[in-house]
Amino acid sequence: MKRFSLVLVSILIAGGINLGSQTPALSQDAAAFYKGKTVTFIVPYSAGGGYDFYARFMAPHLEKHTGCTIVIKNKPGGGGVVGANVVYRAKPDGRTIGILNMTGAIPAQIAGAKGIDFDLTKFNWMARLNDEPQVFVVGAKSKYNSWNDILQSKETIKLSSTGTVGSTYLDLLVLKLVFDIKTFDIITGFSGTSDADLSVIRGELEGTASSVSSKIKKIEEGDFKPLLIIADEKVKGLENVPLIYDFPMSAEGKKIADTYIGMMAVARAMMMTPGVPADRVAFMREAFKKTLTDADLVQKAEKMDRPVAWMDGEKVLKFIERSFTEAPPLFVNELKQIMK
Amino acid sequence: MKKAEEVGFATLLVIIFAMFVILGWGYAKRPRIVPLTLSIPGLALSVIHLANSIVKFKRAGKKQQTNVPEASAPKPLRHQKLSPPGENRKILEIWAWIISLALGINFFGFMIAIPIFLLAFLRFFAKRSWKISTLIAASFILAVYLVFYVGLRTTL
Amino acid sequence: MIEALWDGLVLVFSWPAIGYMSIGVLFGLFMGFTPGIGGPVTLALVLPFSFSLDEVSAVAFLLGTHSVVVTGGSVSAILFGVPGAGPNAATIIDGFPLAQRGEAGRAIGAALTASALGGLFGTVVLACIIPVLRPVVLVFGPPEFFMLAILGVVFLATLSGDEPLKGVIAGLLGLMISLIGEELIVGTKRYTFDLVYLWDGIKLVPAVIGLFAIAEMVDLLVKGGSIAKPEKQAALSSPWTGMVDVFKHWGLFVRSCILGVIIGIIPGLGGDVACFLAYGQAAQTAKKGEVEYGKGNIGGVIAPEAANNAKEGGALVPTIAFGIPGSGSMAILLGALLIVGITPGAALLNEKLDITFAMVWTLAIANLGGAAIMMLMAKRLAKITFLEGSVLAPIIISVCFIGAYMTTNSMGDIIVAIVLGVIGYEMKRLNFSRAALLLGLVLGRIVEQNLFLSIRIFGADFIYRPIAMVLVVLSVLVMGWSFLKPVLQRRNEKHAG
Repeated sequence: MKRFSLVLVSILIAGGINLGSQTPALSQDAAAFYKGKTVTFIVPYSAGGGYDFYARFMAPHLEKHTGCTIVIKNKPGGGGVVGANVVYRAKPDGRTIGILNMTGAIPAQIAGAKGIDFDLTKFNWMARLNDEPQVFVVGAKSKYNSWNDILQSKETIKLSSTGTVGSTYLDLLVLKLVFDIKTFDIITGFSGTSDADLSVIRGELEGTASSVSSKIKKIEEGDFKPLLIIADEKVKGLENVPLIYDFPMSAEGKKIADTYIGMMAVARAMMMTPGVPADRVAFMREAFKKTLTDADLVQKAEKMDRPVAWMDGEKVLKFIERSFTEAPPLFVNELKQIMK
Repeated sequence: MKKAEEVGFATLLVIIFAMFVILGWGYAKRPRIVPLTLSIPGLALSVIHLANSIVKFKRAGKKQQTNVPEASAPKPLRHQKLSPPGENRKILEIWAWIISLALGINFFGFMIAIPIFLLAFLRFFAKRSWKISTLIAASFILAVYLVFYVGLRTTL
Repeated sequence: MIEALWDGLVLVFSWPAIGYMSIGVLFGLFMGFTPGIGGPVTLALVLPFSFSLDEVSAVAFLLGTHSVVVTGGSVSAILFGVPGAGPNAATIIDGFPLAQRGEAGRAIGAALTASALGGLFGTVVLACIIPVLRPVVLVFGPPEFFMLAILGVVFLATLSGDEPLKGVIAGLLGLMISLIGEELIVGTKRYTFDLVYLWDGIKLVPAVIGLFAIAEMVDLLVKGGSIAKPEKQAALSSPWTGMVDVFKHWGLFVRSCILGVIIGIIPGLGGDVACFLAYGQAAQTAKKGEVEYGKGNIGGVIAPEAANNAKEGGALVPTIAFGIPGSGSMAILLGALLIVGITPGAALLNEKLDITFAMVWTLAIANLGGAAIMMLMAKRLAKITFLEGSVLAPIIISVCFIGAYMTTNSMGDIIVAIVLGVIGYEMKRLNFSRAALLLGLVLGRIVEQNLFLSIRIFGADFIYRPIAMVLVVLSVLVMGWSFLKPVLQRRNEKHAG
């Protein structure tokens, strides 16, 4: 009993000291605040995945530019929802940041999916890591050689896709809606993009779609033929592949394309809890800017075929807000259907 | 005693499979095929198993009635062999300790809950001295601290 | 090609590569030994250190770390009933009972030998297939995955020992539990009760920790004493006995290796399946007079451990050939290779063959080295099983909770461990096969997913593809055998009596 009360008292004292040092938070200089502290970088996906990789990749640079210690915490679940919730509900002192896959998060919020505590428009956006132009590909031996072939085809085109919450499915869905294609048969259920890709390489299915960065290797090796790029500007290395806008589409279709490409433009972004003092938000934003524009880091990223393309947090917020205000009702309905 | 446990567990299984079937029925055409294909036979088999264990339980009960004079011989008192009611109490106590550890982790985090749990358990359940208990609890949490916080730079 | 083979070997033994590999091996063994922390997490943690290394050193370091994680994990599986990493789950089923009989040393010896030789096997196969890498990977598709999973399910039947009804119920329970969560076909969330944690289903590591480790610890505390009952013959507890066992059971060993390599080569099945299929396959071959599987048959340790390590050699195949990771750890490895400037695919196979062989050699040497290191410590580690249970158990339980928690960093993992702990404890007391439940848990989703994919892609006659047909025949044979065996045994007993 005595031992227990000793422990209790020490906890209370430690807590008291802690509280005391935090009250004059607003008047502290941001840099002085972060110096020597621990900042938790939440990765809403499992250890070893692409996002986890990026976080660990950026961490040393962030530490250099902020003077704090970055601790990476994986909080996987719900396709990123769990981790995003954690960042949203964390204490607003600027010591919790996160990274998020917007191509999953934005549609989820638009559709009003269950379990979402956050509002993407309320996060303090730090920066964009990169955008993700998407590419539609067919197998090397496919009889389709151009997007026009696809549009004019009278036969069913079987396509491979992961579950209904990946960018693959959304890519194919958007194409279907924008061009009003009736011949797409999207086969969902593959565990990951690798499996979906293999199915096309094996010749079982006609084609698939996902980010350029994940497909570029196989395109270069000749396993895939790229037929269409979903983005608003040419992609380096695939300059002779047409863009979605090169083809005729209805006004409604164009709105859907615009909305989707807007989402893709901020595909991977970093955020901080809402309500953090402005100077700390600015400080961390600056740290991210320095990290992501560092020549050495950019070059290393380039080598991984995962180019880094920094965009300022404020602009990221604008893109996100637009996705919500401009999403056409047809698109919203389709999303609601998938995510019910 | 064991026969009663069989019946209890068998009932639990029936309830679990019944839940799988009932909920499975409510899903759409495709998502419910495999769940129902597996849970309906599962329900059937666990009902059969329940029936089996009830029968065995009744039979054991009848046997006990005819064996009463032999059953009253006292069992030797070693800390391993407890008569059934004593054993059940021990089992519940151990689970209580485990659940308390889980609750402790939930409200106070690993670094506080584990040393307190170890200290209390070693002292009150394993009946070791305060010295040994504290030593083990402290060295363990120190090892955890070194491996995770210092070595791997993650938090728990 | 012979030139590249030699060049690769030289590269690996050069300094500083060999130094980094050694560090990697030690670290990998340690991380493997720590429960709950498995391959992908380990690699993710060491990854940043490899960025500044040259090609060969990076490969030696990363592959060195990665290949021995399951080796280290087998030791904690045997000693404490706690899986060091996911793929060690099957080793617990017979490994821990062996420890309970005082044969921990023997079990560890067998596991390490099987791991080392299995890893070698995997690398040899890898080296041989290099010319035909790509076509081999392409042969397997959803129909084959489906049939392999069905084969695994069929194995369930023999895992039930003397009470088949209980075994089948356990298996069905496991299959149903694996279906909890969001399914990939339409996106329905099944059996999740609106809990976000359950959307991704019940994960293997917390489930195994609960079902085996926690259940065994409760049992230990109730019965008192230590994990191993004292006074066992010296011969039975020596690691060298275990080593000899592997050679005595060489048929089983080779079959498990082959199974492991094949599953490693096929992306899309996931590594955890390999050890269970190997275990299931071993259980089929139990001879009369041997210890029953699940109660401490040494084959139950040899099979999964051989398959585990062989699978890693196999998993390198699609990774090198296509840049398609054969397992979770391979995905990380892939990223690392890219940073260091090694691009998987045709280039690696044609121009940089020496690097490819350097990878192969690293796997081989790391496997052998890792096993040797653990072997030296085996006898000492085995002594832990003779410590007083009431002191050891709370420590192991604490470690279990930490290990389980590392899966998703949420309390859900601990709750899963406790719930399955209760179920597992009752199952142990009432003679339900936990192995069968585990096998169901691992295979359920794979069966459903590939069934639907196969039908969607090929229509209902997907089953007529050649390899799938072979597997169908095999499954029927195994099923038939599991029914015939007890009948035949009874007949033999009648004749003898």
